[in-house]
Amino acid sequence: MLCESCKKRQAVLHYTSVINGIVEEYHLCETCASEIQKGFVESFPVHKLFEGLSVDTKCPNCGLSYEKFRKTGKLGCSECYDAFGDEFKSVIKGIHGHTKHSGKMPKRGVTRIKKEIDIEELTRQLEEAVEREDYEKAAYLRDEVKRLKANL
Amino acid sequence: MVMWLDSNQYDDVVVSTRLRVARNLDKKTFPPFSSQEESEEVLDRVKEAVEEVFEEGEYTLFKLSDMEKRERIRYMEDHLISPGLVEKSSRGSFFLRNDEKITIMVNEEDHIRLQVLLPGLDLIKGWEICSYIDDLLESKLDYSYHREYGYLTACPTNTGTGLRASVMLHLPGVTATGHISSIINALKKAGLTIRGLYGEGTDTVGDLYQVSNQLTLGETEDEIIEKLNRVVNQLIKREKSTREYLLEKRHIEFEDRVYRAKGLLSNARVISSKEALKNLSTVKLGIDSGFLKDLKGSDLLDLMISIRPGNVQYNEDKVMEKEERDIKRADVLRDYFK
Repeated sequence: MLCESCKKRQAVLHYTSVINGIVEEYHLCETCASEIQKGFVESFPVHKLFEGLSVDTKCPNCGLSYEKFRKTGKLGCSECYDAFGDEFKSVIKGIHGHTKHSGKMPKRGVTRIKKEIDIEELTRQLEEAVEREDYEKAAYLRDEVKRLKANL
Repeated sequence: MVMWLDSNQYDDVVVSTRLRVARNLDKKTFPPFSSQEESEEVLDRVKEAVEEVFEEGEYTLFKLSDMEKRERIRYMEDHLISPGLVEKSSRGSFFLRNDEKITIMVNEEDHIRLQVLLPGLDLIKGWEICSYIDDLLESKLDYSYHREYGYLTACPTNTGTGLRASVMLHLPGVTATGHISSIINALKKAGLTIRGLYGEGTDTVGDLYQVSNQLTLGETEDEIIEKLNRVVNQLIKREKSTREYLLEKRHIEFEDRVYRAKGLLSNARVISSKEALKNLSTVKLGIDSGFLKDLKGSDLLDLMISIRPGNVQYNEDKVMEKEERDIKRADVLRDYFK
């Protein structure tokens, strides 16, 4: 097996890390392993953690491909977070051991998020109304969604 | 004198407390992939916000592309900007508050990196200030924020709170005894990291270390700060008891090291910053342990910054090759220790 850090030398060190319950395996050569020992988290390039995930998706907002993210370890814009879906969620989980932020929220942002939730809820109701063929309700909901979207 | 290093708040172990949050503008391309035009647009937006929420003249805008290299490095050596911003000199900028305690970096890895830097250990107050400034900026800017993931950043390792809280410590005692390596391991287990002088990926010199949180998602800002505070207080205790031990059990060896270091700094004609830092650290330890009563620990801390390569050139206002700097540095040190 080749060393997964340099991909040149033979891997002689097989390392399993358990961080916050997440098990990761690393296979490294002696040279890379000693580099990494200096500070495991600092010197092991973050993007190595993302390898093994292969999705050929592009972010509709900035055009960054998942491939490019895997290579650089950097995202292109705020929309990439959703564009890369569940695969990306597992990346977040792998790094932090969590996927749910529990700290501060932007004050104005909170209002916007609430509106977004409302829009989602109304859109769902709208679909239901259409299915029921309750067109009067559907028309009302459609206008509400439109109004909320304009306010975003 | 480095302005934020307030000599009235001198502490013999903790040098400084730094809090930084990473923020981005919604839907705008993050700096690692943005064009020159896009990064200028981001700067314009942030500039408008800064002008609206702060008093006129409270902050000064610096564009790295307009600065001499030595000037950029000097700001980094003073810990006012990050090495990451210096690397992005073609488009990075920063707003610096006049007391140098707050920096708003623009177009580093994220659109905004807000930093609060205070002397000594002051995490709770530091976070209060940081969060307040963050709120002011957010009142004018649309931040990228995700219902589930929190604040969104270019690198997923900063996502969530976007907060990196760090404390710079002077640990000559535990470094001398070698206990530092077991401390490093223990910190990692606690979800904290210990790094060199300028943070991520930098060397340790002059027994100066930065301890910070590793993870940014899952815990609240208060939890992150509380944990760091607790661990740092333990570290301080450990460092102090080690110093006491060295002073008591190895008194003559200790005293000899301190006076030799002072002798070297008082007499050298050519000295590298690494050698200077190493010896300044030992002299500072000596002062903090009751030797050399005519010297002040806070002066030594200041020297530990002002003899760095960018500072030497900045103070001389010219480009200097290494040899020339090493000579000038020795002059500055002899002048102080005479």
